[in-house]
This record gives sequence, C-alpha cells and structure tokens, in this order.
Amino acid sequence: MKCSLKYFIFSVVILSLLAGTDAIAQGNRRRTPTSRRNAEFLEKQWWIGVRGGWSYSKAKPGDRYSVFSSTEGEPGSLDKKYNGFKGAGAIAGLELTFTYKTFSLSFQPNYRRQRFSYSNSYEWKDTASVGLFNLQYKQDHQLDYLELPLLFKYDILKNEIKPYVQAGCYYGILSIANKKVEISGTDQASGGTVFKQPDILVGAKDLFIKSSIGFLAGAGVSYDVGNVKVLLDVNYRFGTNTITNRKNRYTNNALSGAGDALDDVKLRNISINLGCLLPMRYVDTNHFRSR
Amino acid sequence: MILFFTACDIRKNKDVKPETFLKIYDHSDITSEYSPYDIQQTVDEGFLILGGRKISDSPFKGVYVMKTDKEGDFVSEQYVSSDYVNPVKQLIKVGNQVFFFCMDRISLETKLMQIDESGNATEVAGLGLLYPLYAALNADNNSLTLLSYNREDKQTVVSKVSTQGIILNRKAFDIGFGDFDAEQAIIEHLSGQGKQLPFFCGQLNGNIYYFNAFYRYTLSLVFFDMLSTDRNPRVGLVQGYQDERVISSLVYKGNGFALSRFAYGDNFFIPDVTLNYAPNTVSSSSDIPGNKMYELKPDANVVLKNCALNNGNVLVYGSDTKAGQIALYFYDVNSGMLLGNKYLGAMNPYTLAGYTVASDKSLVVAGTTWIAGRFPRICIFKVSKEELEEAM
Repeated sequence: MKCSLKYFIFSVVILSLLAGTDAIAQGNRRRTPTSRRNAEFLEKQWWIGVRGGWSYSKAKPGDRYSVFSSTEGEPGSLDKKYNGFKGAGAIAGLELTFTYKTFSLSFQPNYRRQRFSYSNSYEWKDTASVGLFNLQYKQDHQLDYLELPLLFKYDILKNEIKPYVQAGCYYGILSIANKKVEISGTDQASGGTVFKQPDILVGAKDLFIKSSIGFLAGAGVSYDVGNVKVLLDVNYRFGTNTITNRKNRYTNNALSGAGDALDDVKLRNISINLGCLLPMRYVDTNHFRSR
Repeated sequence: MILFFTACDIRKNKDVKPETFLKIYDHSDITSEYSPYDIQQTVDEGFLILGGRKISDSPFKGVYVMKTDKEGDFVSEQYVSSDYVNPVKQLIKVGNQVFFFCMDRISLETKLMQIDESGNATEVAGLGLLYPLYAALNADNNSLTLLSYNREDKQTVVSKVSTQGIILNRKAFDIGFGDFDAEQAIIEHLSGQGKQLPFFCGQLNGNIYYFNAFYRYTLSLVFFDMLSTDRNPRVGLVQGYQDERVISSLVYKGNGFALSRFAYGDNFFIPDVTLNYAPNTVSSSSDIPGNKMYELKPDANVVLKNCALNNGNVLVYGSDTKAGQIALYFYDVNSGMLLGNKYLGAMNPYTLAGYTVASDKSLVVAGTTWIAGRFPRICIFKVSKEELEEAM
C-alpha cells in the first residue's frame, strides 16, 4: 500500500509541474474593463459538493499497558506490535468551500471509518526451553467517526488542472467502535497441532473517548468539467489527543483472557479522496464558467 | 460549544487516574503452577499475595509470596524455602504487620510466619502444634485464633496465639469415630488430593470462640468458652453431616450471623440468621433456610466478609460459578437484602482465592485463572469504589 501511495503522490507532483507550463500563456490574455469587473466579482465563489474515498490508519502508542504482568522481569516482551497503515476504511461526506482568488476556506464534514490493528505473541516452554505452546492474538479495531474538519486551501496554479495544497484542523466524534480478536497458535505438547479459535467480536465504544482532534495537511488537483469541479487529493491526519478511555482500560471483561488492555493511543491517518463540487452562484453556464 | 465540550472530554481523560485493573501474573515455564490463597494491601498501597506452589519434596504445597505495586504490576516474588509447606490460606494483617501460618515439611509443626513490606517471609516461631487448618484475627487486633489438627490424639485444636507465636489459650475436641473417616478427609484436604473443606474459626465475643471442623466425625459449627476449665468443654453445636452438609462460611454481625452452607452440591446464602449457641444446645445446619444459589459450583468455596464499603458496612459473599467466573454478592448487613452482584473474568476460567478492601475503598480480589485454558496463574481484579457503587 505504501508503494502505490508514493507512486500516486509522485504522479500528482509531475502533473502539477506540467500544468504550470500553461500558466504564463494564460496570464498574457487581454481583458476589457467590463470583463475585468466581472472577473473581480467572480473571483469570489461558494462551492458545495460531495466527496468520498478511502482511509488508512495507524495507532501511535504512548504509555504501554497489558493485563499480563511477567514474573520473569521481562515487561518488554508483552509490548504490542502495531501494524502500519493497513486495513482500509471508507469515507463519505460533503464539502462547503468559499474561494477568494487563489485562497479557499473549506468545511468538509464527513463520516469515516478508521481501522488499526496490533498483535501479541506468547510462548510457554518446558524446562529445556523448547517451545511447547505458543499463542498469537491479532486485535483489529474499527472506529467510525463523524468528523468536522476546517481547512485552508491554496491553489498553486490557475490552469486547467489546478494543483492545490491544504491544511487545517479537525474534530471527530466517535460514533461506533468494534474490536475483533483472532486467536491462533501451535500446541507442540499435543503433537504439533496448529489451531485457530473462532474470532471474537465485541463492541468497544467504552474503550475510547468520544472526541478526537488533530491537524491535517494534504495536496491535490482539481479539474473543471463545465461548471463542476472534480478534485482528487491526499491528506495526512495527525491526531493530537489520546483516544483511549484511560478510566475504562480494564473494564472490557470479554477480552481479559487475551491479556489485552489498550495502550494510550493517538491516531495517524492517510486518506485519498475524490470530490465533486458545484458553484453556488451562476450555475447557468451562459453566465459563468469556473475557469 | 463544540470546542468547549471537546476540551472537557479530552482534559478529563488526560487527568483521570484509573482505579480499576486486572492483572494476570504469567511465567513462561509450562510446568509452573501457582495457587493464590489470600491478598493484603501493604503500607505503600501495593499488595501481598500468599500462594502455594508445587514442590517435589512434599505432597503438600510449598509457600509462595508475591509483591505488587499499587497498579498491580509485579514487583518481586519469593519461593520460600521448601522446608516450609502447607501455607494456611489466610494472610492476617495486624496493624502494619502481615502474618500467616504454615507447617514444617519434616516435623509437620505449625510455624508462624511474618511477611515484611518488600514481600520477604521469615519465621516468627514454631508453635508445637501440628497440621494448621485456618487462622483469624481476634477482636483485640493483637492476637490470632488458630485451628489445627492433632493427629496423634485425633483432636481438633483451637488456640489463641500472640503475634510473637506464644500460645495464650487452647482447647481440644475429639474428632470422633463413626461411619465417616474424618482424619482421611483432613489429610486429603491438606494434600490437595481431595475435597477442599470449609474449615474456619474465630472469636465471637469475649471468651466465646467458634470453629467449623470435625467434631463427632462430622464437620460442624461449634461454639465454646475458651476459658472453661472443664476437661470436655460444653459446646453449642450446629451439626453438619459428614462433609456433605456443612456450614461453608460465617460472619458474626453482633446482633446475628451471616453464613453460607452447602448440602449435597447445593449452595445456600443466609445473610441474616439467629443461631442458638448456648452451651449444650444442638441444632442442624440443614434446618437453616436460605437463598439457594443455583449458579455456583457444587459445594462451592465461599469467602464471606463484613466489609466497610459504600459509606457503610456490606456483607460480601465471594464464590465461583459454574460458568467459570468469580461472583461477588453484596447484601445489606442489617436487613439481609441483596444489594447487587458483580461477575469477574471472561474467556478463560477464573476461581476465587480471597479479597481485601483497599485504602481507597475498592475491592481487590485474588484468584486463579487458566491462561489459554491450560496454565494456572495468579490474577488480581481491582474493582473500584465507583464500580462497586454501580453494582449495589
């Protein structure tokens, strides 16, 4: 996933550079006084539209916790191994943007699914230190947020394909949270049997606090098809608060036997979004064209 | 408005000090087996756990002591010398000192042991008695009542012992002979090979003491005067039947008793009852009506205490369910009404060892769990004051 993402970002940058060769020609077009007044008026525009995409998340652990406490003086052996940006989640939302010249203020409420996972591995040996029984737990978390981001956008170039950058902050409200535990292992004491137990799925909303805040930044390109602006962007979200509910860390009884207790976790997220915006003024193509 | 609520939610989470935890103490040795017996809080708000461990030198369990910090994280453990075996399942706190009894592996003599703040157990004194079964703290908070078995004379012995290991008073009662081998049942209980029997003892008030042990070849509840000069003291008797119908726990409330009993696998909780314990009175435990607890294991282990919780005193019954959970039941100490209950443990089986009320009014419960359904390990649940209030 990381390789395809890098390739995509590289493509966006190259397209932006190619689009820039047209910029000088555009700037030299002559305007009449009437068209200049119209152009000044039309430099302000409200846009409304929809956007959707995919989201890849990662959990950044702070303080570590576990139900298991090692009596062998090896607390590090109990640390969870977090997976990177894996497990896609969907995004769907709206966009309301006010544009003035090359600057825009954009409000993009959306409903997004963020997934992160980690794993633990435990082993029990006999006195000859030959591994006899090992157990792997993989814990997959799925968090649905209603998110309210506010961004500033800057159109780098005003061409047919307009590259832009954006940055801002967001506030998310937790809507649903679920957790799935996959348990597998090897029992050499019984003859080397590899086993897999049925997955356990539990509601996990009480393990997380309601709020998630952070900053985001990204880049994208937009293309005008008649009056409609089609855009494609990539954003990186940097969560600033611990989303783990520290008070309820040990209260999820259903998973206590797996030795699981959430670390103090902050979220990181990469999302790829496709959007479609309509201008709210001069939707009649005779009076306005978006370029 | 949103920013205001955001700040409250996030700031509250940042400032919160978690008051609940579950800890399972694991060791990677597949042959390790630990059986917790009791738990006490230390002055530094950490916890001491007394347990048993398998040893090769004796059929009796060796002594194991663990120390944790206040968050329940493991600090240290002591494999007490295998010269000491059969730890009696009560950790008794006298002021800031913690004591327990065990047995010499060779001579079977009862030993009084003390555990210091850092979790090191040392011998205080040998008592000259054999086969310790149960111990309790007396009302003066400075002496202990010890229940033991004299195999030579076939007697149940109840002793008042100082914290220096000096026997202050003692009374002995024949276990009796009949159609049931009481001695065999005691030995199987001590070795862990047979049914675990609900032995207990204590001071009722003044000179009146009680024990639940074999008397007339039946596990019965016996009240007696410790200062009686009679060779065969007159007793108030609540008779059981062999080891099948017995009282399994008891608390004296001052104006009555709370107790539990089992009969042929069925368990009963009786949070408020009056018992006639005057000398020469005889009654039967099976005549005591109570709440039948269908969900508990047959002839379940019950730990009953009168605890200072929830801004008052509450009777706490702890036991093991057929579903493999630890169950806590809370009863009003005066009316005997059920206030609520709470279940601890999931995914793997859990059984109760003991519990204590911590300095922050939470309940700290020690038990055994089987990791992956296979490996017995010590666990601790800390149930916060808030959770207890919700349960009640």
